[in-house]
Parts: sequence; structure tokens; C-alpha cells
Amino acid sequence: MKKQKKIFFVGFIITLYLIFADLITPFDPVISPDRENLSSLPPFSKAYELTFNDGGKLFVLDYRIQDSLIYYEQKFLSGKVEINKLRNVKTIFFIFGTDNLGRDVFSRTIYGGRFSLIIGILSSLFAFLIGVSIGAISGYFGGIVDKILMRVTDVFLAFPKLFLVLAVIAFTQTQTIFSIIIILSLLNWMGIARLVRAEFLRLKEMEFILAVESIGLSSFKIAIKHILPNAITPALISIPLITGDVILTESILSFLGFGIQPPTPTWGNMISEAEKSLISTWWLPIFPGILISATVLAMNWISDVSQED
Amino acid sequence: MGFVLKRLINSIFLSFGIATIVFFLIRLLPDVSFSDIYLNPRLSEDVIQRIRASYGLDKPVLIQFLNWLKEIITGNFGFSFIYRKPVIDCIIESFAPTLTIGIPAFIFSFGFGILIGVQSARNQGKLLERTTHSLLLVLYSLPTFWLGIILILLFSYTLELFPPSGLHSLNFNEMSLIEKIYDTILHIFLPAITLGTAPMAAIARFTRNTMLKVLSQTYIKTAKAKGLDEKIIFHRHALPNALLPVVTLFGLYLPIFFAGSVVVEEIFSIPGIGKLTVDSIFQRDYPLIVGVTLFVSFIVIVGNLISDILYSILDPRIRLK
Amino acid sequence: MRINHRFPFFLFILILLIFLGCRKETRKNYIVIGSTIDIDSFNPYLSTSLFSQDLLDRVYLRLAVEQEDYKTFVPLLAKRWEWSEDSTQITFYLRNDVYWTDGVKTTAYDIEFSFKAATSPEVAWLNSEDIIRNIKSVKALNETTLVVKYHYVYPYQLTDINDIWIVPKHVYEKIPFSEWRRNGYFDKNPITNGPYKVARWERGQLIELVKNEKYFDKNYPKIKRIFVKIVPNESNLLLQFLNGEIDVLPSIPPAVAEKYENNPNIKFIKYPFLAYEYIGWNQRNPLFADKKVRQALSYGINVEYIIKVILKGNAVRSTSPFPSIFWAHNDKLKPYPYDPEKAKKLLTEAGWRDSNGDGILDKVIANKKIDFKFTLITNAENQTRKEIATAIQNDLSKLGIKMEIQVFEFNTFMRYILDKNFDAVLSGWRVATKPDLTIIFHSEAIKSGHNIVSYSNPIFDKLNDSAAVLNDLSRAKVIWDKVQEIIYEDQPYTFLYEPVRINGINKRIKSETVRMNSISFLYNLHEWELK
Repeated sequence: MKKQKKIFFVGFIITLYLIFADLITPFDPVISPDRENLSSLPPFSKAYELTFNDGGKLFVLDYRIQDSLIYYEQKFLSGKVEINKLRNVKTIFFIFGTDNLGRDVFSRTIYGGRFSLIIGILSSLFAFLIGVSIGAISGYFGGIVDKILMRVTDVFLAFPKLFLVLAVIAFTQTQTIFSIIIILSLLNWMGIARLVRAEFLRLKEMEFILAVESIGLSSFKIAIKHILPNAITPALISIPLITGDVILTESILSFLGFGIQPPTPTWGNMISEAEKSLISTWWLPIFPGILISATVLAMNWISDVSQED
Repeated sequence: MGFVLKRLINSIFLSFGIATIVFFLIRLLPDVSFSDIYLNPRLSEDVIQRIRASYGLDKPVLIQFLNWLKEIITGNFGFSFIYRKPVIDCIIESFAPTLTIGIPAFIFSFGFGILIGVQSARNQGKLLERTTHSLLLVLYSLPTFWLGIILILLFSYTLELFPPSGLHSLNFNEMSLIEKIYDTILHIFLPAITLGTAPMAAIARFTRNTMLKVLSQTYIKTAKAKGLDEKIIFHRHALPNALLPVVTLFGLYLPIFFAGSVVVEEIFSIPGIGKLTVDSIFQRDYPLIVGVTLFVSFIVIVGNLISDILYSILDPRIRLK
Repeated sequence: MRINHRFPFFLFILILLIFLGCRKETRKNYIVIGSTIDIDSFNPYLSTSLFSQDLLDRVYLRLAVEQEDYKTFVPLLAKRWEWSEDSTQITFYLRNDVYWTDGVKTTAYDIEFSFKAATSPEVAWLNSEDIIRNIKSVKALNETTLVVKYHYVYPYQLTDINDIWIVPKHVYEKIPFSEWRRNGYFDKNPITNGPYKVARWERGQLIELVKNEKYFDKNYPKIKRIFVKIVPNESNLLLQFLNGEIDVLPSIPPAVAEKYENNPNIKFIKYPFLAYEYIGWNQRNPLFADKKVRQALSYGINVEYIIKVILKGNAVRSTSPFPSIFWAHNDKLKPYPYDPEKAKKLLTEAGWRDSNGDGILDKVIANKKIDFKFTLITNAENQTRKEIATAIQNDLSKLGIKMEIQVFEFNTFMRYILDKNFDAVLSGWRVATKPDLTIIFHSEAIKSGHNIVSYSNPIFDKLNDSAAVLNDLSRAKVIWDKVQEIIYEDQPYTFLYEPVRINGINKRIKSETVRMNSISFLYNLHEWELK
């Protein structure tokens, strides 16, 4: 019962995040409020939003008040305005800085996480499903079925991944988030299939299975009820690893023209785009990087929990 | 032994099967080979056809395929468009750097992975162990290029301990043998660690988990109950049993180390198999794509074969049929 | 076990300590050039990348050296040259003291052979077209006299003959032209005649150039050894440059140059590059068929912002297909200002209005109401272009235009462009040093050429054809000015900017001896000196 609670808890948090990600982003993740004056600010930068009586807005990095005038400093300019024209001044804060186009990294990460999480979790679950089915069928039937399935697995394993992606892209006319998930799960199920099959074969020979067999249960029932649950346990630990992998691989897809297109952020493409400007704007990949690790840790926690007897 | 031979022959056929699929698939993709030619706006269709014909690309796909088969049988794997060399030479030349990085990375990841895994299983539940466990996951989820750049920033830019790129120094040719060896070790250090870290983390986790499973088995518990020395139980009974499944990872991880890593080779400027794969695919160098696929898939399949064999040797319950 | 598990850790620390202090290098008498790509081949007729050409120009001599005004030439392999009465023939008198690295003399026969190679359809050299069209024959009278005959008189006769790479006949004729593309023979032991010779080429790793002892001018090169280090990863390359491991680095990102401007060890050299970035509007698409719409789009894109923020000021606004540093450029044209109001007005005039109130403009075309929606494509490797595309998307959304972005891997991207399979494209052209717009805007180039946007204007066609062959440059300039006015009015492209190239050099090199320009960033490499 406790086990289910923990899984439920993590699932609940993730669902909450997916639903409310839009609401908790402090800034627009795609369009900067002022792309000129807020560009490339390092983490923990403060800025001020001056709102005028006529509704106009001005973003400044610093200001001071002197004789009913406000003197302000911007990235490229400085100037002054009369204080009575101003409606209010709001302090805004960029905890993880802004990127070259003046977009808040924090907001982008939170917003982009939706796509990354959906892609990551669903792909790894699909991969797990495919892997377990192939592995279990292979292990259960043995013989010619096993041989064929294992050769198919080998083919997928040995196929250059980059090439597999290119081939799929060439044959898909429209790409949706779903087709991305399919590709990514097709790239990742093979290890699980092999692992499950090996466990299946091992368990088949174990004493307790032989014992159950002697009771006279049908072999199909044994496979489903006793072998399968035990056989998938070692494969469970690979789910969090695959999730992390998939989130990063998604960015490689977009390099090939597949995957989430700019300006929509994902953790993967935020990190890989930041790679090019690492020397000048080093802070861009840090927050998405932390969240990827956090996701992997959370997933791992679930898989650890579900392995507990 | 007969079994191994049979599987090996099977593997070769399987590799060829994959290469065949690739051979036909690439011809279905949008054709962008010879980018320098098609970028020339005024080159007449006639000339382009003549150049393509000189590579045999004018013939129907099926004929091309038969020609390719014929060549393969005589041991000729075709001729690379972009490197202007036989494909086989390209692969051999690129495999050397990949091996130079792959072998140390292999040793590093299995050595440290097993060591850390065993230690964490022994100290299960302790704070240090938990931290290590989480740290390993973070290491695993760290993008490879990021790890690479951070290592370069730290060890070659700031500390100036290791060279940041390449396989040897500029003045390598003027060095004595000992200097050469030393120089090479320096150069392979960072890329090997970058390549080996993620597998190391995975191996450590895997080792820990199997170790824990073994430790919870009845025979270990019985031994403990009998009052046997814990150290002896651990080394004599638990360890060998736990390492069985780990050893089978050797085969599965073979491709990670020896089929070339695109990212590591790009960051550290290593002209290996990974770079060859990317170049061939992006420039649509058909013969090279097929050749590299053949080579890489062979490594993968042989890796699987090795893991199967190891599994059956170490665990006599699974007999080879 | 207890000792065991700590042992590797100690070993690791020990190794680290040993390494400390071991890597001190003595003062270097060579320089290292950094590059993300390797050269394609040492056979100049097979190498296509800009970087390859920059490098090959240091090891192969040309007849003359093109100067930075793109009009005058200084003798090199040719001591002097004479024009015939009617100017359809030039006689070159070559130096008698130039030798290939294998000891054979460089003669006029080499050039005669090179011309054959350059124009051979089997070699299919990228720049062969103009030479085939304009040059009638190249004939060696004796070892030092070369006669070049032209089909007609035109302003770029010297430019064209000087474009030919001069390769050693005695080596290159061993392989038939048809086999060149399939042969690695030329790369094994390149035979050259420039100030440098190739000492080593390790593919994907490094190239070593050393002083050519047989070079005719014994005063050069000043720096006797040059390494080219190939590091595909940009961040790694930059770190090595900042660290002093690499001395020369071309194409530094503006943001990095801005950050390290005050670094005492390095110096940035900036110069305008003969190129421009543009958005091409595919005029086969009904959205962009109307020139008012294209003008509106040009008014509606804030290029000033792109230059100021994304490029950190390292660009010049572009107004025409001739860059502003080029003599044929029309200085009277002023860039389209950022004026969203005017853009909206023009769009309304063209019939685009938001009739259903969904925030997106629409119009009835061929009895069907369509929204102003399109996709801009660009190549995925170029981070700057991705950022610019996003900025443009923001600008256009303010006009009620919905633009999607789609990026492709470079070769696929080129395929889409050449197949004209796109709505709008963000890309760039590098400009040749002789003015000719036939390839990109002539209506004949729609079928076979690079008129990717299918622009067609008969007046343009006529003017362009007459200007391209006009021998009197000042008269040609008048027509070119008109041609540019037409393009400016029609806006088949929205011209964005001309990039400023930023190259870095280490201050070990005497910067006053370094000349870099749009022709090559290694323009006078043999004259560079170390401090």
C-alpha cells in the first residue's frame, strides 16, 4: 500500500506540473517583454518595469529618483522621465537569467518541461512495454519464435540510430508529438527485451517455478502470474535511465529537422542550443540540466520503490 | 565451440541483412549526395549524370545492389565519395582512434562501476551510499557533451593538466618513444573518462542491485545464521554470484566503446568511427554508409554473442542449444 | 577490500600530481590556426569549402594577387602582362625561378594544362562556368609565355583567368580527368609551389605547413611552421584560443568577442565580409506574389534590433544584392526602416485584413479565404539564424501574420531550397567579386539556377544582361544602380544584413603585419611575423 502511495505521489506531482506549468511561468516563454533591454542577463538579475499613465512600459536595469525625475539605465541607453507620468514601478527578477533574445530561462524551462516530460515518460513507458512483450514472448515460447524475435532485436540494436531517425523522417509527412514519441521508443526498447528474455529463461528453471509446475498450473498461467512479475523487475531500473536519455535525444532529433521546432523550448533543445554559446552565456543550460537530473532521480525513486518486496 | 562458430556465421549474415536494408533505404531518402555538384547552378544535367554514372549511381537500384554484392564477395566494400578512398581503408583508419579511446574507457567504466556497485551494496542504507547512488544517477543523466566541456574547462583550461583535443601533440613526430606513450596517455585521459562515465554509472547501479538481490537470497541468510564470517560470506559466496550478470554486460556495452561515440569524438576532435558515421550520413556517401553500417552492426551483434556466451558459461543452467 | 577500494582513488590523485608541472612548453616558433572543419582535398579542383580555398591559396601560386578593391592585381607568378590592341587577348610573362616542391619548374604548360582541367566537364569544377563561357583558349608559347584569348571584351578578364588554380601538369596528368573524383592520389603527397608546403595531413586532426625552401622569394615566409588544428567543437576551439594554445581563429561569435574584448593576450580583427543574409519569399506562393506584401514584410521586420542585440552590432544593414563595400553597390538606397504602421497599411492595400477577428490576417484568393500563415525554413546548425527566425516571428505576429519555423540539417535544407519546396527561407549568399545577378534573380535561372524564389521581372532581366558584359565600369555602374533600384522596389528578398567577420589572433603575432580581408583571412600569411 505504501508503495502505491509513493508512486501515486510522484505521478500526482508530475500531473500537477503538466497542468499548471503555464500558470507558474512568471514570463512569456516564447516572446520576451522587451527583447532588447533584457537580453543575456546573468542569473539573479534584477530589472524594473516602469509603467506609464498611458499604459506604455519601459524595462530598465537600474534607476534613481532625483528632483521629481527618474534617471534610468538600460542595456544600451540611459535617460530620464518625469515621475508624475509614471503609474508604478515593479521589480522583476530573473533567477536563472535570460537568453540572447531576452526570454526568461526559468519560464522557458518550466514551460518546456511539459514537452520534455511527456516525451520522456511516454517514450520510456512505450519502450518498456515493447521490450517486455518481445522479451516475454521470446522467453516463453522459445525455439523458432525466440530466434526470430531475437534477430529482430539484433537488427534494431545494430541499426545506426541516426540513420533510423533519418529513415523515419523521410517516410513521415507530418510530425506530431506522438510520432516523436514513437521514434524515441523504437530506439530504446531493445535492451529491455534482451534483459527480460534472459530473466525469463533463468526463472523458468528456478525451483519455485518447478514447484508450481508440479502443482499442475498451466504453463501460461505460470508465465503470467509467477515468471513475468519477477522477470520485469531488473528491467524496471532501466526506465529512469531511458527517460533521461530520451529527453536529451529529443534535441538531436530537432537538429535533424524533426522534433520540437523553435521557438518552443524543451529541456533537450535548451541544453544543446546552449552548448554553442557556452563561453559567453554559461548559465543557459544549468536549470534545464538540473530538472533533467531531478526527473531521472524521481523516476528512479519510483522504480526503486516498485522493486521493494 | 561448434555453437559459437555457428552463431558467428549467423552474425555475419545478419550484418549483411542489415546492410542490405540500409542499402535500399538510403536510396529512398531525398538524394543529397555530391553537395558540391548540385550546388553548382549552371552544371548541366548531362554532366551531373556522367559523374553519377562514374559511381554506378545511374543504374537501377537492383543492379546497383547486385554489383555491390559482387564486390563484397571479392572483398571490396566500395569506394567512399567524400574521402576518395576504399571504404575498408576509411573504416580501418577510423577504428584505431576509436579503440584508443574505447579500451581505457571500457576498463575505467567496468573497473570503477563494479567497485562502486559492490561497495554501495555492502554499505546499503548508509548516508554515503545513498548520496553515491543519487550522484551516479546525476552523472548518468548529465549530457555527455556537457561533461566533456566541463572536464575541458577544469582540467585543460584552468588547471592545464590535460590537452583539450586530439590524439597527440603537434610535435609528436619529434618525440622519443617514452614521450610518445606519455603524450598519448595524456591525450586519451579526458575523452576516455567522458565516454566511460555514463556506462560506469549504469554498471555501478546494476552491480549494486544484483548484489543486493544475492545478499537477500536464502543461502546467504543461512550462511549468516550459521555464524560464518561476514567477510568470507561476502567474498566467497555473494560476490561471484552477483558478478555473473554484470559480466554479461561486457558484450552489451561493447558497441558503446567500440562503435564510436559521435559526441565524444566531436568534442575532443577524435577522427573515429563516430565521426565517420556522421560524415557519411550527412553527406549521403552511400558506399561509406553501407560499409559503416556493416561494421557497426557486426560489432553490436558480436557483442550480443559474447554476452550470450558469457552468460551460458557462467550460468550452467542456461545451456546452449 | 577496505584498502582496495581506496587504492584507485589514491592512484588517481598520484597521477594528477605527477601531471602537475609536467606540461610546460617552451617558447613556440610556430603558430596554430584553429578550424572546425578539415579541408576536403589538396586537389584544388575538388575542394569546395571556403576554408580549404583559403588554405590552398598559401601553397599554390596564382598568376597574380587580387587586391582588396577587387579590381587591381599585383604580379605573382606572372611578372607582367600585356593586352592586345583589341583587348581580347592577354599575354602573360611568367617568372623563370618558380619550382614545384619536387624540383620541377613551374611553366606556362602547367597553366595550359590547368585550364583544361578547370574547364573539363568530367572534373566538374564548381567555378568553371564563367571560364568556359568567357575564355576561348589558353596557350603556352614557351615555358614563360602564356597567351589567353577571350571570346569578347568584358571587365573581369583578369579576374577570370586568375581564378584558375595552377596545378603541376607532370603530376596531375597521370590520372585522367574522369578518375579525379575517385582518386585519393592527389592527397598523398601534394606537390605545390607556394611559400608553404604540406608537411603532414592527418585527416580530421591537423595539417602541418612548413616553409618551402624552393620558394622564389627567399625573404618569405617569415613564420616557418604553421599548424592547422581541427577541432569540430566550437566551445573547445574557443577555449583553446583563449588559452593561447591556438593563435589564429576565424569566425568568432559576436557574443564571445564582446566578452573578451579587453583580454590582454588576444586581438580581434573585424572586417566586412562579402556576403549578405536575407529572407527569400517564394513568389510561387500566392501569399508573396504581390510586391506590396513583400514590401510590407520588409517594413515589418526590425533588422536594427537583430543587428544590435543578436549580432552585438557586428553587421551592416543590407539593401541590395551587392554589399556596401563593393564598388557596384548603390549608395542611394536606404534600408527599409522598421515601420509596422506602414506595413499594416500596405497589407490592407493588398487586401489582407482580419475579417473574422482571430488575430490573423486573411484574404480571399481564388474564391477561398486563406489566413496569412506560412513556414520559414532555415538550417539547424546555425544558432544565429534560429534566433533571428524567432525575432522575425515576433515582429510578424504584431502585424497579424502567423509564421512557423522549421529547421533542417544542412544538406536536406539545401535540397528543399533548390527544389523550391518552401514558403520563405532564411539564408545567406556569399558574393562573387564581379557583379552579376543572373544566377539568383534572372527569370531564366528559375529553371536552371539559383533563382529559388522564382522572381521574374523582364525589365530586370534586360538591364542585368546589358550591365554584366559592359566593359566601361562607370557606365556599368549606372545600370547596376538602376538594377538595384528595381530589386529594392520589388523586394524578392528582404535583405537583412552584411555580416562583419570577427577573427582572433594571439598577440604573439605582430598584428601590424597581419592583413585579413574578405578574400581570405590568411591573405598575407607568409608576411606575418612573431614578436
